[in-house]
Amino acid sequence: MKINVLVFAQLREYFGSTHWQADLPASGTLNDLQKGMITAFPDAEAVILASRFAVNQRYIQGLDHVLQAGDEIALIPPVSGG
Amino acid sequence: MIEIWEKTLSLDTVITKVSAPHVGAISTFSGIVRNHNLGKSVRYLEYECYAAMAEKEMATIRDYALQHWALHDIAIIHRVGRLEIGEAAVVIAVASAHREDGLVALKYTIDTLKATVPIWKKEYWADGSMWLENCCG
Repeated sequence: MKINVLVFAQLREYFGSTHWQADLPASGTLNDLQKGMITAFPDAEAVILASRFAVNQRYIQGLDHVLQAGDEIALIPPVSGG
Repeated sequence: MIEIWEKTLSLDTVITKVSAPHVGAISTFSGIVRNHNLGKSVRYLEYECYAAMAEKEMATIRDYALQHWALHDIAIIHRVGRLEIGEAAVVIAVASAHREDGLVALKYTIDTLKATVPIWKKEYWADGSMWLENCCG
């Protein structure tokens, strides 16, 4: 399934875009997504590992969450609001 | 009221929003861009957000506070875009009958916002810039 990931802050600079597309198997997980991102952007590995995933605008704990087509996925670097 | 603005914030707006005849205390916080950070002179900041989720997370914070303390209301406005020194990045007003719960809830609100809400700031100096990270809570 095609997965679109929204990225923010310094991840946008590393990725050169506000989002990233991946092709995952039907029962692909956040772990698969993270690995794919690190492979595509090895310079961004530290930030990717420090970031949290959100699926459908909710933080997800752990990386074994199985993704579904149509999920809104975002990779949230360490935040600095306020 | 939970909003994200791209223009100058108004503390009066959030105060007015939470006011009511039975409210005896309005506790407010303004987060201001200061001219120094980590020993460097700051020129300006730029804020970016994941708007839909940021509003949801701020609403979650408000809901938790309203459940756990005796409050009338909470209003939060966060700003995005370029902010100059002295400008407010966030304004919060908490209304309660009595001040104790309002002040405690105000601290909870800003502390939790800084830990969880998907908003980021980039700091610009004379010789460079950096995306900041709030200290893990």
